[in-house]
This record gives sequence, C-alpha cells and structure tokens, in this order.
Amino acid sequence: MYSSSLVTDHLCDSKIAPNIGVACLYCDYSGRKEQTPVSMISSLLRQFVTGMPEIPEELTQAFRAAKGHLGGRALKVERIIDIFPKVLKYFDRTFICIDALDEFRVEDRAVFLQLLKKIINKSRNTRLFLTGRLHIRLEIDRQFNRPFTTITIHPTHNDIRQYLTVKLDNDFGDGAMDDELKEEIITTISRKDSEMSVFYRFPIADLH
Amino acid sequence: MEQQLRTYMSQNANSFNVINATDDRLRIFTWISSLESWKRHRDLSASRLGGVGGWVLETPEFREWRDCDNGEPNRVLLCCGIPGAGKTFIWYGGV
Repeated sequence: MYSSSLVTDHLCDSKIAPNIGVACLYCDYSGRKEQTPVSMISSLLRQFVTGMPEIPEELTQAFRAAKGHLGGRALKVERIIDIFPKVLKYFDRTFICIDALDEFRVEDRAVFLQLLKKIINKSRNTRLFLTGRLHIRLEIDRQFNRPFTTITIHPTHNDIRQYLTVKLDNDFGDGAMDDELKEEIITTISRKDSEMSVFYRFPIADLH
Repeated sequence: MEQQLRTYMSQNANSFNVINATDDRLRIFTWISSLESWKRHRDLSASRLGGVGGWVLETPEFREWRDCDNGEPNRVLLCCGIPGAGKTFIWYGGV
C-alpha cells in the first residue's frame, strides 16, 4: 500500500512525457463487496476520463442512451474494454497502479487480470504497476502470459530508522522517553531488521 | 445601458452553461463508476513518511519500466512483499 501510493505520486509528478495519465486502485479485504472486476475497471476508466479536457463523444452518447433505461444502465464490460484504448490514446503515457492484488477476491482475480491484460495489450503507451504478496506472481504469470519485471519489497535499514525516528518523535507518553533511549531503540531495532515480525506483534507503544 | 444589459445576460447565461456542463460531467463520471479510489490514495499519500521506501523509485527495474520506449519493454512491474518481513507495519505507516 505504501509503495503504491509512493509510486502513484511519483508518476503523477514525473515529467517523462508532456501528457501523463495515472489511475490507481487499492484492493482491500473490507471492500470486497463493491470491488468486482467490472467496477474496478470502470473506476480506472473514470479516472482517466477525468484527466481529459472533454469527455469523449462516444461516452457522452452512451450515457444519454443509457439514461432512459432502468434509471441509467451501467456500461457493459465489452463497451468499457472497447472505449478504454481510445481514452488512453489521448495521453502520451499512461500508468495503471493496482495495490494489494492478493486482497482482491480470489474467485474473480483471473477475470480482473484478463481485463487488465486486454487493456494493456491494446495500448502500447500503458504501463501496469502491481503490488501483492509473493504468491500472486504465479497467477500473473499464468494470466498474462507475457514477461514482467518483479521487485521484492523489503524495508531497508534506512526505512526502519526513518520510520522509528518519526514515531518516537511523536511519542507523547509519560515522559519516560529521552534521546538516549530513543537512539537505543532505533539502533537496536533497525539492526535487527531481519526480525521484522517483532513489529507486527508489538505496537510501538508497547516497546517502552 | 442596453450594451451593459446584454453583457450581463451573456455573462450569466455563460455561467449557467458552465454549471450545467460541470454537472453533466460529474453525472457522467458517476455513471461510469461510483468507486472513489482516489480518496484512498489521498489519505495514504498524506500519511506517508517522507523518504521511506523511496529506494524503489531508484532501482534500474523501476526506471526501465517507467522510461523505456524502445522495443517491447516489460510493461508490467510487480512489487512483491514477503509475508512477515514487516511489510504491513512499514507500509501501512502506523499501527
């Protein structure tokens, strides 16, 4: 989640092309009800369309046509996939960032990945950034059937130091914390970064 | 006077049209999707600690994925975290 938001912001601010489009999604166990393959793809489409000065005529017409039916029929997935490359073409470079793919419903994951594959296959200017636990790699490999690059995320010594420094600086406990103790905590914990599971078990408040 | 009135009418008519156009845009956006994913991004972005995790952006893999235009580069980049490696603690930015 952290790296996705970092990457998304970085891409939004980057100047690698004059006209960049970035869209992001955060898969979440708690949002599984509303997070379906179609709703996720639609959300991506919306984000890109929002970045255009004008809504494409095709979408405006489809909206007008849909309005008269059942209080506004939703776009069908085939139509979304058809419109998507036309929208992406407006930008010089587009990025789709999807966080925590492993939190997306397992029974729908293949469909979701297939839809993403269709989108990137039709748009050469589009890059896809995914995050997830290691096992998701096999699924992506199976569904995409194309080479992709993997980076293994692990907090660096420096990441841990910075994180602990901020947390301890914001500690408004009972005054037991002093600079010496802070340094001792930071040095000891960041040295043992291979045993990071300790963080998971003990909230920072329990460390002093 | 007539000129002033015409200008006034024209300005108001324009602003009315602008409001309508904006409303229409919003209606179409909501029709496309009602998920507001960027709100989640905004919250995470605000709570992120400066500098932490920035090394990812400096890796050759990331740079190539982001910048490469020649041939058919790997247009898909996956960032994996190993369970139990502290990913949750660090990445979520707090307990």
